[in-house]
Amino acid sequence: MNDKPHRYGFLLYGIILIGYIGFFPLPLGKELLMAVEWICSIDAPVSIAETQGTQLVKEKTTGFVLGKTLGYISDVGDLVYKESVLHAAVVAHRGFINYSAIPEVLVVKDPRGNILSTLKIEGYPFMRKNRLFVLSVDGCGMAEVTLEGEVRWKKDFNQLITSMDAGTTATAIGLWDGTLLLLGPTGEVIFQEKLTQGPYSVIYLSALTKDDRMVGAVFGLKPQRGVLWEKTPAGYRRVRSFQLQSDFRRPIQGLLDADTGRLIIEDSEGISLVSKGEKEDVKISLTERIRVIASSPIDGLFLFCTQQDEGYNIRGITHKGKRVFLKSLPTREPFWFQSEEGAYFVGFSKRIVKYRVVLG
Amino acid sequence: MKGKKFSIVLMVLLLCDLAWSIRLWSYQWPVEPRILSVFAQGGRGGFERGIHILASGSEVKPIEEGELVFSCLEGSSASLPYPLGSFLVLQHGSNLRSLYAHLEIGNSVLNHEKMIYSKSDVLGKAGLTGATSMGGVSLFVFDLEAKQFVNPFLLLPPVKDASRPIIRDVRLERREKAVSLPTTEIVSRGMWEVTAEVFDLSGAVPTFWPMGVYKVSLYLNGQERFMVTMDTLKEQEGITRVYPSAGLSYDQLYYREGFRIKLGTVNLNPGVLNLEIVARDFVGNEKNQLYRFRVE
Repeated sequence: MNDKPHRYGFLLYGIILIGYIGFFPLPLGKELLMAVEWICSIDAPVSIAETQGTQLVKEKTTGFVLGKTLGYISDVGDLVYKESVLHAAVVAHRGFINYSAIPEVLVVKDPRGNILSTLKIEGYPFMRKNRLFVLSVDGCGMAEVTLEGEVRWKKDFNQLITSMDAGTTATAIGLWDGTLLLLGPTGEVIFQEKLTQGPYSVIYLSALTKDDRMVGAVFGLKPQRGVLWEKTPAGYRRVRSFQLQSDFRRPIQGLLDADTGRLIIEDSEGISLVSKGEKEDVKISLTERIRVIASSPIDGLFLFCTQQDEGYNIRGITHKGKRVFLKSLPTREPFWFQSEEGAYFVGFSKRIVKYRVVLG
Repeated sequence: MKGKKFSIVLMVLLLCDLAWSIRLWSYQWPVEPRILSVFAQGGRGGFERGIHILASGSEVKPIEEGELVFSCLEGSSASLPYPLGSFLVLQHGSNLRSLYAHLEIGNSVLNHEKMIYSKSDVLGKAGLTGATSMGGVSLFVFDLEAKQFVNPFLLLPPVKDASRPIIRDVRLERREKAVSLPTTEIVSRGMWEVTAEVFDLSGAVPTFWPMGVYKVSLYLNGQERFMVTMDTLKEQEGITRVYPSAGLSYDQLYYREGFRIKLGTVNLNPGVLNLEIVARDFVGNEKNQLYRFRVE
């Protein structure tokens, strides 16, 4: 007679316990946070000590372009050089190019503003994975140059270049007729494939891992499709073809990560992480517009800068697609982001902030 | 009876002509054609692959109904830094594409609210985005099947222009000597390279604004020795060449700067020679310059 209430009591305790665990879970570990290492105002005067002599040129500095200001900041957060951007600018560790809308000569300066070299090549310069390129005036030709003024290669494709990416020595170039080219260190074609999707053969994304091991491309419309290739002793071999939900008629944000072999691309509903094996694919829903996709091998994270009406968000996700942090920056344009060896430099509201991801 | 038949034939011919005209001019100018630079003229280190039209702030319309296949907004983080500024690419049918550069593009176009653009739709405004100092639009036409840029003048309705091309500073050159034409001196026999400044003047601006021509020929004693027409630009073995007539590369046709054209090398034999240069602009206005000199 007395057994029944005991049984119900255990059941009740069990339900209460499960409910408690559900509502008040035990913390399973610390959370990842973006911690500020330093803040540098770009309106601040340039550090006088830094502007004297040439010794400090060798010190590690970080270049930035925020709106109409470019400059360099020392490792401890002092502004060591700044100047106004003419039309646009390219900054690298060893120097920068600040160019006008119609540049006839590209002048390369070091992080202190001293002239390093001049490049007599017409077009707009840009950096990809620490390599310097110049896109020709009509967008149909490209050259790889060095900050010292040497032209490594120069090629005219007689077609609009719609996308490109660089590896260590190779360069992937997508053309508007659907041709994907992989160029070697001297600009020679080492791999070529024509990607057709009805009459809409445009390469919207070309991606190359930093070790030149994998190549990716997104092309065509109705539907938009993607392909991944991997380097083998016999050359580059197609390892994955996939279909996307997107119908972008513009360059697509994307990154091919060397460590994971994953292609991270913006999709119509957010982000897609595409792998060689279809089962490993991950989709992340985002309503904001994706501005930057970056990889941080040190932290084992992918980072996304997204834009919405209220400002920018920096999101970190693991390689498996788990969201680990979100940093909201209530700011409008201009915005600048750079990820480098576990450090994250973010430019907004006339300041550059260096963050690191920490457990907190 | 004969008269009736003749009228019917005439009517049919007129209808055919009308249909042909409509087909030919089914393309329209994207803006009022105030041309500043033309197809295949000597440009910044290479052939101009399109034409540039002065039209600051004007609404830009498609040359023909087409579907948006590519767009680029100047300063966009995903895009390459195109000197073309903000631009759009439309696909017409399965083989033809048109590109409109240096635009100011509205949000509706950028957000791809519309995919098919009719001839009355506005793509954007002719602007100053990218590498241009003269507000306007650059138009490029590409044939996907033949993989070549096509001279837009071959598709678009003719423009009004009465001025004839200019031929000046004609020279005979070889290693250590140059002879300017016309000349009264006796020219030595042998191989000479003929060069000349050949250009047309743009009526779009009140200042001196030279631009390229459509066709240049060189005749020696009435025999054609050189001819180039600027119809298409095609890549052959990594080098862009002008077709169909000559297949010349940029360096084979132009000196690096200006409008000086290399008209080929001729072998001058003793006697009195007639050297004639004929230039035609894109409208059809022709200019010929005849030089008579003695060779010994």
